Amino acid sequence: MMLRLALLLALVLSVPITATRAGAHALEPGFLELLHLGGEEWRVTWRKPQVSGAPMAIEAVLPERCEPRRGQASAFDGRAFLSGWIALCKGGLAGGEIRIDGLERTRTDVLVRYTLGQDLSPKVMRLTAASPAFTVPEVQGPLGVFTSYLTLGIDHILKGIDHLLFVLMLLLLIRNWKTLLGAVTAFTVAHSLSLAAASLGWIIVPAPPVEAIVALSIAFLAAELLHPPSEKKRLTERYPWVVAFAFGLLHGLGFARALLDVGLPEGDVPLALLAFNLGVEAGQILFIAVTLALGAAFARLYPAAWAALAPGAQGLRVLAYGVGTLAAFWVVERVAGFVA
Amino acid sequence: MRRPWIAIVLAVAPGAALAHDAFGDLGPFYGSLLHPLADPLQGALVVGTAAFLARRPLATVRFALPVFLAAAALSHVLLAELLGLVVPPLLLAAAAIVVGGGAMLADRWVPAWSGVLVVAATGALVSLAPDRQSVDGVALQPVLGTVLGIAIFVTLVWAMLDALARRVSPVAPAVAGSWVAAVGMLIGAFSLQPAPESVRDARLDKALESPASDERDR
Repeated sequence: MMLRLALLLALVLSVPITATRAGAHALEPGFLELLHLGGEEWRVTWRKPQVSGAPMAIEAVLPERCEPRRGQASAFDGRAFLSGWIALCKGGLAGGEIRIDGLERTRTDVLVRYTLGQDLSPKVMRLTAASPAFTVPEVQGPLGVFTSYLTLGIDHILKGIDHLLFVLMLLLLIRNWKTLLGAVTAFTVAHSLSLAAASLGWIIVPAPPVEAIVALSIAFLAAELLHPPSEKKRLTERYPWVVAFAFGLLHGLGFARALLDVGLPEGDVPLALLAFNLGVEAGQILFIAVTLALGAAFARLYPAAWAALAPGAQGLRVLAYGVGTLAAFWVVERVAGFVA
Repeated sequence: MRRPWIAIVLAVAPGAALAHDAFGDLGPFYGSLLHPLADPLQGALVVGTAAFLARRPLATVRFALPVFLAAAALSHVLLAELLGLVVPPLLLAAAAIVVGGGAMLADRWVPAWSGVLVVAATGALVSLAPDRQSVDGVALQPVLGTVLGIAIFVTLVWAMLDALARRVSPVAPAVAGSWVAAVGMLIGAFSLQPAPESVRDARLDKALESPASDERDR
């Protein structure tokens, strides 16, 4: 009884915390683009994230040799504050420092995409609170692109509590490790396919409904957990790979949204896509490994409590209700977001 | 490379622990969660506690582990966040020596109650690491990250050492404990040395910056 009460209390306490964090999940980085127009002119596009309806207190500052170095007033496009201008950079961009003023006081990233010449492919640099400026190199190798997008992939999956919760539900539903391996592989293959297809523009799906369906997929798995094992086999038990594959396609569309927000470097699209996907996989594998190891440790330490998480046990039902409630809240919140 | 050992020493020197961007900028939650991997002192205390627990019977661990985590959570919230208390590295190094040394003692030398007391004390100290990540604004995420990070690392290291003790050699936790005690001695010795000029300058700059940043945040 005490264990049940403790589990319930933990869940009740965790819902507002996770619900708050979920609001911060959506990856909303800033984006600065400098496209070479010819000669010494660059077209600058500066996209500032919004915070409570106002532009975030960050400002893009171009190298000293550029004029003007900062943009004028920005306009809200429904998701972010945009400003654009033509900058004259005498002697080019290479060797100059691009800085995001105020970024060190935020928790936001800014992706900078720039071209050094008309015939040269765009390069990408990710700026963070820890490194809010960089010196434009003469030539950026593929390693820079790979590292930027790999980090972005890891960052996105680890901060995406809904994606992690879906994987956790899969771990709780499928107890046979071979079947689990198959399901996780199907999930991975599916979201890699849809991520690539959506990032390359082969399929175009609006982001808000996708986000709502991602939340719905968690609610579905929570409902699956509530079925007693004695009843007719659950859909996830009968077709684990199909379920994981179908939902993997949806989650991939969610990942693609994050990637489309920051853009892909034109000359290095396959490399950036591969790096982002590898980052997502690395984060996912890390989460699964840590969860399984913690589960094994918990099972050895507290076997009685661990039994409460066995299929059909009360502890698992409480957990399923908690996760289901949270997922239902996200569904309503996200649907209300795009319906409004 | 005439002096490869210089590079090795520099790579593991305590100064490196000051760099908190070891994992890139992952935000306050993950930054705090991964802190035991970036801070040798906090890492040594976590591993030392896990090794100490791995030498104790399961019945003691079942009680001591939650005590350790509760002490870490309470001391982090009450002492570190509310009172801004920072523990000198020497004290943390001494704790690492005690807990690491304790891991070398067989269970018959450590009564259950004293074992629980030791892990409660290290729990209270482990979350007061002087070099922990400070974040402006709402502190919920770093607090959760710190407590969860300590909980995850101590549990995982305990599980690993416990498995090694059962399947490879029962002295595995004692070996880990001896390493932790050695690391504690090294860090303690380093902390008695006057800080290099560059580090002193960095600390002075940080101290001078603090009031301004506090003012700005208000």
